[in-house]
Amino acid sequence: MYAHSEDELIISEIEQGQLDMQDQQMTAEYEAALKRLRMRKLAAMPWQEKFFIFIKAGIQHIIPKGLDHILFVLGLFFSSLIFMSLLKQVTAFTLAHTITLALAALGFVEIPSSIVEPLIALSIVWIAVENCMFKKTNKWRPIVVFVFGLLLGLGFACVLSEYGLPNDYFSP
Amino acid sequence: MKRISIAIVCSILFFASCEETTKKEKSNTPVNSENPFFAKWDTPFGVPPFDKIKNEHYMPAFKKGMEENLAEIDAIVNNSEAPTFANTLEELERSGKLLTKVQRVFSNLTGSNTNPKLQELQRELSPMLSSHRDKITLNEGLFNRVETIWQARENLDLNSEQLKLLEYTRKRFVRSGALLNKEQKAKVTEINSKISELTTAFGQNLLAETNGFELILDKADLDGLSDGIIAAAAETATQKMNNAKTEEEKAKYKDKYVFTPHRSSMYPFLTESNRRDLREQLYKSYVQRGDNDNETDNKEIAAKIAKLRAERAKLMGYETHAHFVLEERMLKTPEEVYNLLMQLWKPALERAKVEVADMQAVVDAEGHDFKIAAWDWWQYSEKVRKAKYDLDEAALKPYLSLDNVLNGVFATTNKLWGITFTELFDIKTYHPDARVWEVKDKDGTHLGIFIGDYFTRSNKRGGAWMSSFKGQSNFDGKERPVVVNVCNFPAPVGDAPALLSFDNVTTLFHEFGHAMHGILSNVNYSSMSGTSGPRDFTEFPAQILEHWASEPEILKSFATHYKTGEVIPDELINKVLKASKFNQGFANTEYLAASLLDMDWHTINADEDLKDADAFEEASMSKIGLIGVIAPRYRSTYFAHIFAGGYAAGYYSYVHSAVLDSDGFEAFKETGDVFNPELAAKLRKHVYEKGSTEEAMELYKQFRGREPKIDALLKVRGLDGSSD
Repeated sequence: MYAHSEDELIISEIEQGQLDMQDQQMTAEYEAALKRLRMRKLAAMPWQEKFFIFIKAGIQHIIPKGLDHILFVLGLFFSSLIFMSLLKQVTAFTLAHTITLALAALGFVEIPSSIVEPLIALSIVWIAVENCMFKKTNKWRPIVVFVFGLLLGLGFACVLSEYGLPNDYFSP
Repeated sequence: MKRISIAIVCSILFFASCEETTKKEKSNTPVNSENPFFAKWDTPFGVPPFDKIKNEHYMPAFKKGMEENLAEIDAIVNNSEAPTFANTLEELERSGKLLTKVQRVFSNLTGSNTNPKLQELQRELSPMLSSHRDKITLNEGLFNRVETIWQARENLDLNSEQLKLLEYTRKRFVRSGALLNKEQKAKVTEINSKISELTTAFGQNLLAETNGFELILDKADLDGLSDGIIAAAAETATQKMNNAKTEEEKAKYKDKYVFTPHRSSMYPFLTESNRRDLREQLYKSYVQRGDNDNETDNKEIAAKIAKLRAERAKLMGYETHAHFVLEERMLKTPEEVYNLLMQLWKPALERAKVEVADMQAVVDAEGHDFKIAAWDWWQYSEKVRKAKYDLDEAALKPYLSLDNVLNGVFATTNKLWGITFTELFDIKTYHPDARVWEVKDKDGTHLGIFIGDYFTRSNKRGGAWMSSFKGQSNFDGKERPVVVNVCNFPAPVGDAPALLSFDNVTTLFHEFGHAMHGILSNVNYSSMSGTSGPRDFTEFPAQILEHWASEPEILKSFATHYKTGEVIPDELINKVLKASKFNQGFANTEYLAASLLDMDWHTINADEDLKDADAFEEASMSKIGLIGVIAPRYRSTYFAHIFAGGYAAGYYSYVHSAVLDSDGFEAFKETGDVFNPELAAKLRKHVYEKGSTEEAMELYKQFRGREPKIDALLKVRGLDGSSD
């Protein structure tokens, strides 16, 4: 059955030592391999299919996977319904979100999701608490929103990179 | 207040949606699914349904498989009709389907993707399976039927493949003692059980001895070692500390660096460490394994095993154990093996002496005052390599991305035989790194499935091998194979592609050659298909493919820089080719010495007067004039291949296959076209398609037109006096 017979497995244990199987390491290896598989699949697809896949992924990443983002934006609405104030906040958020998303997707910054995700949760709580505590919107609000936007952009990039974004698919 | 309540509603909505997804996942997992081994596999191309196979499915499938197999054997034996080829040999070929099915998956996964549960099962199953095999090969009724057919073979109008199947089957019984009388049979059984106890003890002792020695170093002892090696040694120390039971023992490893006589730990140390005294310590611990006059000593055990084997061979009517083994090989007698080994021995030893002189020159130039010793070899050969054969692996790697090399091997086999490869993504394998290709013939017909599992991981055994999940046969309908290559190449870091060393490339081509032997196989009976042939022949189809990997024309066709797309420069190719001749004197001498030692051990007589392995080995090595700076690749007390594994009187096989592949590739070179269509067709027809349905030497001669010669090998390895 083996072109290199099973005897060699016994010999390999003597020559190389026993396998050192650690759950954590095995999981990390498996995750990395899964990502490689997704990248290979993607690379082999025709462009129409790829386009469709990314559109689908884009929607999925807002509903249901982007609920944190929706909560955050809802938080902004709950604070005030004055158009100018909202416009400022939403623009600040969009700008910041885009900057970090691009930076992270291009590989310039890399922050593990174990740090980013809890901070995102914190930012939502922050906005909510602020909404409840103060009647009027704080004038620093757009800046606070900008900073949180940076954070949420990073979070989005984490999800995207786990999904597998090939290096050579950036629009020129 | 209102705002708060909205926020609360929102968060409830949010958490509720989480809840829903977890519930869904739960209901998707089947509670107690059916054992997939008992079902017919409706997967594409008969690839095992890996996603459905769980740890707990193996044991019931093995038990039922063995039960069914024995029932089938009983049915054959108790058949009231007179024995015929169809009702005995072909029925035997049909039997054991379930057992084979589960065994193939199990033995593959215990090597390439194991877990603690599978390892436990492996220990439990090993004695069960060997007793199952015995029940069949020692079945007298079955043998009598086979023997009846054998005696009448000339009047049965069997074709050559059927005759071969009959011959193999009968041989299996005869070699287990079927022709002996009751008394002799009892004696053989007794010897077998003694041998099996001793070989197990040999392996256990060796493992204990290898794990037993450790070189524990302080930071100050690390002179010369590179960062990666130091980090690995620190990691070993940490592991040992974590595994230690007492505080005292833990303290022993705290902030230390540990090296062991495992090859992967020892070789880097011998190469890099500037501490000659420590090199000597570690090297000696390696070569003294099993030879320390303690309770894990292997000297007496080795001698006992060899004597028992000789005794058994004599009982069975063979001159020595080597005669018994070689009967089934391509080289048929010990004389042929010795003749081959001794032809190579002289040129190898001469070359090794030149290498010693080269290294001594470096020692002298450094102003040291010592003679090169065995533990200096790795360090000084590396210095010679850098000076003479300087090949910078780091400069080479960017040209050798895994995908490029795969394209290279696909293109090579495509040019040879017109076969094509299509990667499939919708077939589930046992691990996301195991990739699947469909292989098609020139005319588009399906040939088989090729699985390539290339990256190293912590639950995979070291080394590289080929195996199969499904065999090939044309009997009872066409069955096409599912074969796998497993390697241990470093996994890529981040998003960069995986880059291989040239050694890795050779390994990939080698294993791919085995895979082709499986995929192109075109025989009737699965038991004689693919790589089932004699050990000194089956490496030939694998090794010959390696030659294409180092043909400049082919290298240039696939080795392009992964960033710039630039084709590999000629200068780099020349360096690669030159480097392949480096240190060949040493490599061949240590290998041939071990092969000759193996042959000596297995050509002794049963009544030979020998106490232990040391004296025997010394006599054997001084007879051939082995120089003191080289030890045999394996000394007797740690020669697991022959005393714990199945390589007795078989270690020579590697070099025999090398003679074949060099000589075989030379045939292509002689025509001036490494893809010569006529030769390629012959190679496929007489070698890759034939499995073991004909004598190996006959197959080779049909391809080559003559018997093999050693000249090409000497040239390839730089042993013909042409290297400087």
